[in-house]
Amino acid sequence: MNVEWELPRKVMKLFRSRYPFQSSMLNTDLPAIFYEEACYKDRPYVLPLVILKTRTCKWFQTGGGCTMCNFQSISAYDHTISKENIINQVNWAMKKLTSHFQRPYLHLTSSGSFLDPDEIDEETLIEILRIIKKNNVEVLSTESRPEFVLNEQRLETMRENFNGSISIGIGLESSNDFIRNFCINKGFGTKAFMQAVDILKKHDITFHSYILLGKPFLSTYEDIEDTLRTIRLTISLGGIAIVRLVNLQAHTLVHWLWERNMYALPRLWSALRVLEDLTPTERSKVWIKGIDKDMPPAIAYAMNCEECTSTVHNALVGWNITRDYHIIKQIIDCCDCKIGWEKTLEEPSERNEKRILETYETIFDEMQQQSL
Amino acid sequence: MHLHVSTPIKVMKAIRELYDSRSLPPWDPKTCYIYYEDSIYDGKPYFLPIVVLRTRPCNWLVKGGGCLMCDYQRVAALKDRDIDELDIISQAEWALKHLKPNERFPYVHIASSGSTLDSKEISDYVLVKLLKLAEQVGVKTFGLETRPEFLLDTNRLDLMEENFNGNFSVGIGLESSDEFIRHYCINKGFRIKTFDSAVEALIKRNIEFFSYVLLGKPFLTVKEDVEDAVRSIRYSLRKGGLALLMVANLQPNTLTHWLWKRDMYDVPSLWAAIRVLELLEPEERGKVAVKAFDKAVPMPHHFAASCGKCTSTIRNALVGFNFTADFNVLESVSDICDCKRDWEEKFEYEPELSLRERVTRSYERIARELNI
Repeated sequence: MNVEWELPRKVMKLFRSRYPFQSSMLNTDLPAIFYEEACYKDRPYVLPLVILKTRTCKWFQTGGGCTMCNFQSISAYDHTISKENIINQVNWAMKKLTSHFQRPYLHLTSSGSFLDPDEIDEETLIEILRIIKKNNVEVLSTESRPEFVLNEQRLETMRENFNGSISIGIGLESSNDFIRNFCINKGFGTKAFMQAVDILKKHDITFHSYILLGKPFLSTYEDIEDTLRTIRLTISLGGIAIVRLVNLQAHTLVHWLWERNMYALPRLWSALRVLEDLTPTERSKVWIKGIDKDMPPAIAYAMNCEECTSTVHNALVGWNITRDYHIIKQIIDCCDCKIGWEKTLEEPSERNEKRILETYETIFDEMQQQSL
Repeated sequence: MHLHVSTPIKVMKAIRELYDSRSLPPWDPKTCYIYYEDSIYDGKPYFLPIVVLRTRPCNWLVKGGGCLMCDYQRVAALKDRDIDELDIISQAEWALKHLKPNERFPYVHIASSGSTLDSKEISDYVLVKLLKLAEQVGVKTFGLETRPEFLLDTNRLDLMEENFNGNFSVGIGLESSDEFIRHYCINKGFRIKTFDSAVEALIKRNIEFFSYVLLGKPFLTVKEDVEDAVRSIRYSLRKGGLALLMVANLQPNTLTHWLWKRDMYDVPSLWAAIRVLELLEPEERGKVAVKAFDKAVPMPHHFAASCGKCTSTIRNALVGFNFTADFNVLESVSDICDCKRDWEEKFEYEPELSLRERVTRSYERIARELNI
């Protein structure tokens, strides 16, 4: 079959032109902050995630961005942003986060890739690292697309100016090139990811992959299998796997599909199944995120039924905090709604490239017909 | 109006009559509710299954109109619903078959629609059956809940000990250690000396107990409410028990719901729950868990929250605390949101009138509107 590899990019660009994003006025001196449940030094830890408002992700500008991502909403989309603005954001965040407690483990990133010099230039990077070091941060987690990791100069700057642990999060999403391209429009190949991981190792920097659960165009079974394979690739390369359940964000293709009954958020059962299918050693390197908060806040999050959502949600929260799989096992079949979810596993079990390409054609046609 | 001791009872009876004609949800006498609470058992994170049997309603509901925040009658055999001993046994069999205690749930909490030890709800015959059945399927710790007056019946306690070879954990709805508050703000219908005698009977037999302490009592200021909860927790701990801080949720068909509709009440903020724990000593906190902020039977109209930005983080931190008893997780969210300042202002509010005067005025209005 002749696969038009550029099709998702064409669709995403068309989508962006049909639904231009209107940025609201934002305070360019304030970052976005939210918190995720974690475990640090074997104790429960509430991890602050600081998202600096910088220039918008380059991939959003050049390739239309990922199908589920609305990060442009918190970026300095149509505002100019200065080095001073960014430093003000970091200072504000550190003041807020450390005035009452020590927070030695911090996730701090930009609106796209922290290592993209167009978002954070060299001078700003050094200043940011100086500020967080002064505030006793021991572990710094951040995010970048793999192509910016290939710039060794940036990694050297990181290492020279921050002596704590560093982990770079890379949105691998899927280890399968076809799925990453067509379901996510991620815009890089597995090869770039592998190269990035190699270079990080050379600089004594660890990595974590973001792995998407709830990818559009896939059946539940395909989605879970792909997630498992991607987790295993990440772990085999020495990384940590952050499984992110898709939540519904405005201004995304996923939302457009959802409005047309062509997409549904994953069930929380899928996250449990992923954990269940891993070995204990693999599982210990997996975290489940995106189930109840995000930046920007989502329109809807993955759920089960009304009766069990809270329990299963709390089990996943408990897993992130305690790393004790026993609580997951306890509630693994706590509700009859699981039977309905299991039926969805019987849908096509072979990845059907033809099916996905045909769907794209439908989307493309429908979008083209819409007037501006 | 003179605040008479019978006022809360009269009001609650009128409230129940008001809602008497409502339609009740579908109801199968052979099955019951099961839900799961984030807990600790044997020093590890544990999902405690709460089995709520459908039985005849709480004795106090029938006699005294029931507690003013409680709608447990929705799960009970009321109106044209009848229940017999075999039904209740079937429910327990159904629940325990589902739970498989010997594999996953050595500790099971089995509640009835009022008091497990009230022989009108659970006869001697049914109680013995439940205990034997639980033991047979591997339950090691049997949790139950009851009004204190039923613990004064030594025969029932004898039956428990004779027919179950394991531990018990008995929950008592103390709600408040203050006689005035328990009577006028909850209409609980028992005195502290009854609670004391009940607890003594349990301690004499080496049976563990815990008190339900209500946070979010009507008519109180935020500060009075928090301080009363702290005192009540300490009272329970001093008596040798544990405490569950029940964060009030809003149940339909209750006086709290009636007040809420008239802007005279709302459920507490989650900040109040954190403040209660902050005010306790570290060794006291280890004996407290926080419940009812995200699930309850029957399903409430709404749960306690803080603000749209931080509720999810605070709830998850409470879940983390319940699973680990690590106060650090709550401490580290205590400064995350600006909405706390508004709550602090409410906490500092000092009313001009005394509590008695405020309660009197509130009951005057309620009585007037209910035509009592």
